[in-house]
Amino acid sequence: MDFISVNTFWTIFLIIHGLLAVGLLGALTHQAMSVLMPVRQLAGPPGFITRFRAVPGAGYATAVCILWILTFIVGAWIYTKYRIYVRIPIEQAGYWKTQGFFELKEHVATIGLGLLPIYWYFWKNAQSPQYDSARKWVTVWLAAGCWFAYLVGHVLNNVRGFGS
Amino acid sequence: MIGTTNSTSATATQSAAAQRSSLAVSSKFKAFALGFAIAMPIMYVACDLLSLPLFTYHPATNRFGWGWEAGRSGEGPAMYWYGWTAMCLIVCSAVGMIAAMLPEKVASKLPLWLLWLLPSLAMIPLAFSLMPFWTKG
Repeated sequence: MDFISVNTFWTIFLIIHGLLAVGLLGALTHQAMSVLMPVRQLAGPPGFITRFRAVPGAGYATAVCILWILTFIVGAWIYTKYRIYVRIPIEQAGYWKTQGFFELKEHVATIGLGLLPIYWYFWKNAQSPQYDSARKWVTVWLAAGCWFAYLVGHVLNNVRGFGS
Repeated sequence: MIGTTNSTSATATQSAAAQRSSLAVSSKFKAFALGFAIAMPIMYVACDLLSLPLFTYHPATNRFGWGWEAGRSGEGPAMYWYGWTAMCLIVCSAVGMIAAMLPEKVASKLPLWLLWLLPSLAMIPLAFSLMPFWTKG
């Protein structure tokens, strides 16, 4: 620990948390698009949107579970420092709604964690039509939750500015 | 080229076989995961609204205490989210295990739409519990 400062240490973990979230966001967005707007038949050469939603969603399921758990663990770890060094100044500055959205973000992350086992099961049985609807809406819920958490985290990170 | 195709096909067969023997085809795992997922939003809302953390963490002093504890004067804030999450994981795992022990006929009757409806509905009381944040400032 002597070769980097405490601030640098926690900044590295914040960046790791952000990078994991970006990976998760990309995977879940592809997957959600693939279930909301599945590609059935191509009339011509595929465009960007078609290629974006034409991914084999089942191949993302395990990666999404691992990324959600890793993002959750790293986020939970840096949360201890957030509570002392970020939240208190945010409250002192009167950013109550921003803080309220952060509280919702933590709720979404935990409830999403609870969906992961059944989400994984549904995608590993993607050939079973009886799970189609549940698989679609659980995936969409996780994707929406991930977008919400990502945007809230991003805004919150901007409140005080990098390194402040 | 043919060798590559055969090798790919063999790998695909092996992975398909491995998948068949995994949790992905286990009806007990499916029942566990269903019970776990349905219980999670209910339990989380209960933990939040009824203040039921398994433990309280005091980050400024790096101290843990069982159950709910108020922040101590001069020792910084108290954190409950870790305790709610731990409580939910334990209770929901227990619910999942009970679901896995149910006869397959019963477990298969659990409505799958609860899986996305309950987490969505849970956001209403959770957002409402944050009213002080929405109304200040």
